[in-house]
Amino acid sequence: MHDVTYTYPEAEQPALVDVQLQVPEGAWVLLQGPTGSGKSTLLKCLTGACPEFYGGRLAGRVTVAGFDTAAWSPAQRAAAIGYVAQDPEAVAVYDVVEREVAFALENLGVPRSEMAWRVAEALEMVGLSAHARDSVETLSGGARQRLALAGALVHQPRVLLLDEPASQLDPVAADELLDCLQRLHQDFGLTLLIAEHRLDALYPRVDTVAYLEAGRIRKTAPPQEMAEWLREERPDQVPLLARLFPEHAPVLTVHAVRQRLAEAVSPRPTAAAEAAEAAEAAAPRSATDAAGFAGAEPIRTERVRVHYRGARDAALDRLTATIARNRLTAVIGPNGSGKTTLLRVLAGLQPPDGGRVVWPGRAGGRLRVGYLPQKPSDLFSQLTIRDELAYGLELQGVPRRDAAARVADAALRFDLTSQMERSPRDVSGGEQVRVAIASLWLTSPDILLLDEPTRGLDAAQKRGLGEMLAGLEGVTVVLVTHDLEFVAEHAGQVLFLYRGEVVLSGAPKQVFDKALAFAPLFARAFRGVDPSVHCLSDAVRAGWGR
Amino acid sequence: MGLSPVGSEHGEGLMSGWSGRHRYRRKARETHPVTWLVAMAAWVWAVYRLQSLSALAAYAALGVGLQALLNRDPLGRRVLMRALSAAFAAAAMVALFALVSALFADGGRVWWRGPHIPGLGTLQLTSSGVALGLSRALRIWGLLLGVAAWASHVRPDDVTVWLGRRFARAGLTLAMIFTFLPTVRREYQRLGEYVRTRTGLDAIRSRRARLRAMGVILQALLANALERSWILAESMYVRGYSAQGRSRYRQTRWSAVDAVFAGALAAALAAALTAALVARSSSAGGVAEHPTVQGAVSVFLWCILCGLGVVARVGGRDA
Repeated sequence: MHDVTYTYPEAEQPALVDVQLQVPEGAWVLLQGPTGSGKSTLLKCLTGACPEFYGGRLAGRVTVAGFDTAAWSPAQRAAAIGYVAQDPEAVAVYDVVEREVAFALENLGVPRSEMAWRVAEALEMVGLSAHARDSVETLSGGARQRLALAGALVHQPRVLLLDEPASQLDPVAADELLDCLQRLHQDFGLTLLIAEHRLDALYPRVDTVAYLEAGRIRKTAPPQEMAEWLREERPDQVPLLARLFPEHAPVLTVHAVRQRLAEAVSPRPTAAAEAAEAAEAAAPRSATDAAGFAGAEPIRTERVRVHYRGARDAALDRLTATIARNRLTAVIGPNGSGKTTLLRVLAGLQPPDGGRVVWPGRAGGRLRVGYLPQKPSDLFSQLTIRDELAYGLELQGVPRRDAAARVADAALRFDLTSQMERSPRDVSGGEQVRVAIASLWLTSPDILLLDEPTRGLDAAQKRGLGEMLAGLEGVTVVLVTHDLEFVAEHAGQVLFLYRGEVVLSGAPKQVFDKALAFAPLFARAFRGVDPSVHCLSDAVRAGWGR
Repeated sequence: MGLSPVGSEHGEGLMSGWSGRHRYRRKARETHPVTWLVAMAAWVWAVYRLQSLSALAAYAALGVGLQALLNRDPLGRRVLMRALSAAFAAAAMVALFALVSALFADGGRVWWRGPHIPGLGTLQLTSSGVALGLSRALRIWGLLLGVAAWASHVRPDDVTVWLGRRFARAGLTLAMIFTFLPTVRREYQRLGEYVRTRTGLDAIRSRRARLRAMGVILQALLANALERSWILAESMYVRGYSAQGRSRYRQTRWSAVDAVFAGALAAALAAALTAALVARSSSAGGVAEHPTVQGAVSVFLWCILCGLGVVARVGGRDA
């Protein structure tokens, strides 16, 4: 990209400003930056969607292999560039997997005799050969994203662009996808540009990182050098592991952290260790401590059973759990273990086939529940954030004047005052979560149920979400998540589900001391060295990081 | 080489010729979409042409059979149980329809005479009325059962094959609509749940509040649909959809079974049509409402229709 400046139609400010980026053939480049920094727009300029599809003004030149893409027809661009979007569910055209993969070939007019082997190769590359005749609808989220990848690879493009391809996936599926990309990069020499927030997973894999901010590329460097620069210039954007050992070169993998610990390059400072032990002793981190259970009567599920019609196994199988009030309980476990079903039972959306949920009494009736779905925008129906916040109150019959005052209060509390006249669907992912939680909070819930609220959020947004949830006094939060770093950092109690029952529970420390695969990065890195470290704040407290 | 699991998908049992009936499920061969289209045409045509009560009863029974064979059962019941369940439901509907239809028909011996209903006439049960009602009921329910089984079995992508290369873009649009509709239905249900929890499960009591909630769901549904359409359109553009000179991927091969089956159906249709035209030209100008299928053609047709069930079972998609 040579001095590319792009402005969306009717926008006052350009989304990209003087972008200069050179990607050598066969390189893997990570586009990093806060939400709204222009990563997606940069990729859209490369695909030609900006300005051909979106309109707007583009200055500068985009070239692929020395050819100016502006002079290319859409077919020529499609032949040279493969593109994978964020949401795999929204981009499927056909119903059958192999037909969906062949879509680009059909568009490019590839002869029928050439199609079959190309489709077979693309499916094999992403590990979906066994699903060639399946319906796209029957695939899991991870498999659907790999299908999108196969669809982008089938015509053997020179460059593959990926716009937050793992943002809608759980960590297991995301790792599978990134492994797949690594193979494509290493074994087939494909040139890759990826915009993504999973920095810890990508830093060890990519060749180069380009950091964007406000539409400009601030720095382009290899991962190690970039991590060092970020530590000095943008500390909130540093990958988690690179925050350790601040006096030394950044480490990017769990293996490297363990090696450094073994070599005792950075022995644990005695004063810091003492402070850490004192802080640990003082911290109310145990779910079984007095604060959770004695302060307010807990919510209990007793032998709850849910069996969906036609399913072989029960989604919840005599699940018994105690959920502490007024704190954050995280529900973790593999896919299909019954996490979302438990949330639906607590929300009252799924009546149990057996057992019961014991709700503590509340003055004036049963507990009020707020439910945040995986996609917060599903809750939005109004044109502005102000109307969106007011909607729930109006439906509850709150007088308009009172509603306006409460909406203003919520806007202040959730830091939405400057966004009130914007559409809730146009703001960033983190802001959408904030709007959704604010609108639920306005209806005075006693218990807030959140389904994968950190999906697609960058590090700063996750931290903001954690602080916001911690600030909800008197509200019990139950969240289903695969984000174990978030759980270790913010949860007070963890329920580990497997095949519809709770197989492990307790405070994060208790659970993550035992679990291996279901443990956050820091717990894995410090296992056997410093058992007090489970998350970044633990590491900072113990003097390992900054 | 790739990421697929190592080892045969078929398993050693199948490869060595031993299927182990209860342990291995037969991998179904795909029936060509054109065969399905011809089969549907034959089914619809048959309902128009069949006249005798016994033939219509057999036709409806075959419809029940197709339902049991082709439809996935959410309760996971065996075919016989599914057939019995479908038969009971169909029998109840046929009886109800036949009774209503018979009550307003004239002719034949009067068995029972009821009150006069202004605008509709006198209620009565007559011998020919019952026969007519029953034939109408069997005809309509046989048709519906067959069409329902067929519709649940064909895939949205089949539309693109039916409309061919000449109408490829129209076919794709239709296929996408058919794929889109179940998504919208699921989303409607999901959004309804969110609105219920957001406003309190018991809060929506008044009709006005319910209407308002419905409006909200529809608004959100529309916004989601527009958002999804935009993303899809961009994805199609980036994958070269606007380019000229499309080709088409061959999803299902035309097989010998398809050729025999579709050819036989087409021959039966042609033969019956010829027979009808001959009967029409030999009659003195009057055309019966439902001209009867005669002799060998009728037998041939019935063989084909029964074959439909067998082929669907053997060659269907995860039948």
